[in-house]
Amino acid sequence: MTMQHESHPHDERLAALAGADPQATDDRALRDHVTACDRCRAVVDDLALLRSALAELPDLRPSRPLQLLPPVAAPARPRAGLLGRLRRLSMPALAAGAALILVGAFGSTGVVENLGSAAGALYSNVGADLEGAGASAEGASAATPEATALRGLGGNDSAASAPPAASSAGEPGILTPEAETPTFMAAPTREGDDEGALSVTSDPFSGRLAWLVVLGLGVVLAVGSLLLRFTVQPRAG
Amino acid sequence: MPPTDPASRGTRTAPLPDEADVVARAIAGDRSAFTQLMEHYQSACYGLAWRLLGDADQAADATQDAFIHAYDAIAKFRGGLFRSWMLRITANASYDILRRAQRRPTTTLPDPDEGEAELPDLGATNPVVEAARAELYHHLEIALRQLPEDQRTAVVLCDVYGMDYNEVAATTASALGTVKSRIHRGRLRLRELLAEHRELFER
Repeated sequence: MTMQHESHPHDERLAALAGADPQATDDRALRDHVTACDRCRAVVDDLALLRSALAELPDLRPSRPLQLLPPVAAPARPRAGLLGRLRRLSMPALAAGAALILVGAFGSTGVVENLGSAAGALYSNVGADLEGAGASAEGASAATPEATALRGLGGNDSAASAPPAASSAGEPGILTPEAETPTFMAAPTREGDDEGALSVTSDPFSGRLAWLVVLGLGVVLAVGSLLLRFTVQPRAG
Repeated sequence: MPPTDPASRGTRTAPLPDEADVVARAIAGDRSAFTQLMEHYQSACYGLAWRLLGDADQAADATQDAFIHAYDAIAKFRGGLFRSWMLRITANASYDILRRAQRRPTTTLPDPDEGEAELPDLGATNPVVEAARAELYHHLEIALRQLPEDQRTAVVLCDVYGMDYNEVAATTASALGTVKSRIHRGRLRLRELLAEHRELFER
């Protein structure tokens, strides 16, 4: 009995034989053993019955209704060309253009005039300081902190060099064209500094010009984006 | 003893009478033909997914995934049994879900006799199945659920659905020798589990 047990093939070999695995069925010694050994033959027979029953296991009804057909997928969108990509930028560009128009229009009307007076008053004060005359009351009245802050828009070195002390006198913040013009026209120039004088006199104009340029840019951007929007059609799909 | 032809007992979906024609129309883009095929084989696909995953919801998800994969791939169908092709796709979809769940290969499924899971009423799904066979199937399903997952997957694909070793190895991304060993050990374990119901096999 012991001898017979020791000579049994491994059960996995019997399982291979039951499954008609060629490596097992081609093994003549294995087949001979199974034919002669009741125990091993019983294992192989059981496993064959088992396989037969497993192969019968029925199909099962799904636990819930299934979607038999996938929905029609939208065709992949073709990659947008250069115009298509530009068209996608048209709405942000239109918004930017509108903003520039607003800023430009606002700046080139009310604000620039104030700016001009502020700058003019400031420069007259500068001139007065340079002349050493302390009686430039109008210039001092215009040299408010706002004017000081706007100096940069004048875009010249003379404005930038205006001394902070100029804001120490006069009513702050009241800038009128009437006040501006005589002061501006009377603004003395530094002796031997013609270039500086020229800068001072052209400053309000260049400030207004800058706003107009902004306005123009806005118009160009808005019109361009509108044209792009309505002339380039998006691709189908 | 060769396995009994499942169709002879009426437990498995037989091919459509005009299946070649329906498949050809589906390949040509006829959506109604594709729907007809999926409707016809949905029980086969769901049965495989349920036996691999052991969970009704996951099995339905896997079957649904298989339909989508089949729709995308049907133009590549190169003949043979459409049922086998669908089952391979379902096995892959089910195995994807198993991988995502990252279950341990030695995990067994909840024992339905302990109320943690429910077996489908195997007799009721097919009126042709006589009571004794229904009882046998019930015990087989319970025994399958008690196999470690790696063995259950291999036995289900090979012995329940007739895939060869190479197909099982490809589906489970395992070495051929590993697959054989899992199948053989799984069969032996099933024999032990079903020893007390041996008489059911011989009816």
